[in-house]
Amino acid sequence: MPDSPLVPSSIAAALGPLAAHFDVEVLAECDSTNARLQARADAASGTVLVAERQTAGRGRMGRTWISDAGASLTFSLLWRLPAGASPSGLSLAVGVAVAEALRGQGVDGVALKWPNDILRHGKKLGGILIELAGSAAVVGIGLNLRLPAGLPPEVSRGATAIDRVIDRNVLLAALLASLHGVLEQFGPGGFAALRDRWQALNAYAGAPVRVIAEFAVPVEGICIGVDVDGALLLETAVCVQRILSGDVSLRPVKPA
Amino acid sequence: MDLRKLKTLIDLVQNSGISELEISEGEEKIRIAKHATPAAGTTTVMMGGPMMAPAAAPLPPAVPSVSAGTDAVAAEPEGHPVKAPMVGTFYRAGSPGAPVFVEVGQSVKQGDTLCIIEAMKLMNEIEADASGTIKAILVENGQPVEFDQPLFIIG
Repeated sequence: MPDSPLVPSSIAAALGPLAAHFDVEVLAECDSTNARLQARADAASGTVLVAERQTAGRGRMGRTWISDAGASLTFSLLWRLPAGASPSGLSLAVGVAVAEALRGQGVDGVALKWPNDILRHGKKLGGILIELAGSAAVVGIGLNLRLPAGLPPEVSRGATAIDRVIDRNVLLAALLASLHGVLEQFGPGGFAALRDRWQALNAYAGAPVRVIAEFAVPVEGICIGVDVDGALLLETAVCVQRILSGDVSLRPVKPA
Repeated sequence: MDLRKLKTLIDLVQNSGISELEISEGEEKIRIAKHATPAAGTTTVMMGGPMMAPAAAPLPPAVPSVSAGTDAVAAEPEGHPVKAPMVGTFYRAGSPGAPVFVEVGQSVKQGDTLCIIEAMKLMNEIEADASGTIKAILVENGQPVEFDQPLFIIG
């Protein structure tokens, strides 16, 4: 069955009164919704670009995001931080919004992997990339609806999808509504206001993990959650370590 | 810095009224900070610079010399320093393989993007806060940077 096309009026209908906060534009094909939105310096907060098909989606530091028409939902939201607000932890806050929206749509097994991977039953369902210029945050979100056939095994092994018939207009509206609620809280309260909700979604809560970063020796410890600014808290043999930056990845390690 | 010294420093911070202590020794830089949450009273350690090693790993012997800060200042040309507004990883281009935002000798206007600092997958475009010529780029691509660390000199 072909997917229903993305239609702004259908998205607005599903959003209800919240539609007033967004300006959704559907592009048939787009190199990268993030890059396209970043180029619009004067766009209003709440501008959304959603692509039927994204040809050059960007993951972290230029990793490509594979997106086929109908196989994924990729969109970018421009959101302006209130004056004086710290962006610290914004990627985690967005993760909370996405995961809660997916759960609300009946997608099971959804959890978050620090700092901003969306997991389903331990495999990657989607990702978030946020690009910040001044107070303008371009929030890019990509979710797998179904995995394209013929993916190389190294990709399909760690990836998963929503894998059921879902109206993308309804899904996008649910995601935007959830983002609206979360960002309204993030603006004045920062990540601290959302920290408990992130912890409730932490895929590796209390689990032994290894953190790998460039320019650093890997650190192993127990993932005890995140700090008020979004930093990962790792309990090592010596102390509680805050992990903030770098090309960090989390891998579960088997207890000795 | 050896583990014994680190332990002493942690104890020092823990048993004192100060909330944060930063020490540079040679190329090593260590910051010890107390946080009220989530585990009240515990001390956490963060290390930056080339020595971003966990406390449990063996550390190379400290280099007996002047502090890294003094060295860096001596080597920097005169001008306006553009400092890191946050802790993160420094990138000179928007993505690997993409052209770098600026090179030494290039003239920039206030508001031009100079680099990206990444923290928790948030890519922060850092803009020039002054116009002029890039006299020096003080950080290598991909390196961690500390809050307030000078990144560029604009002259």
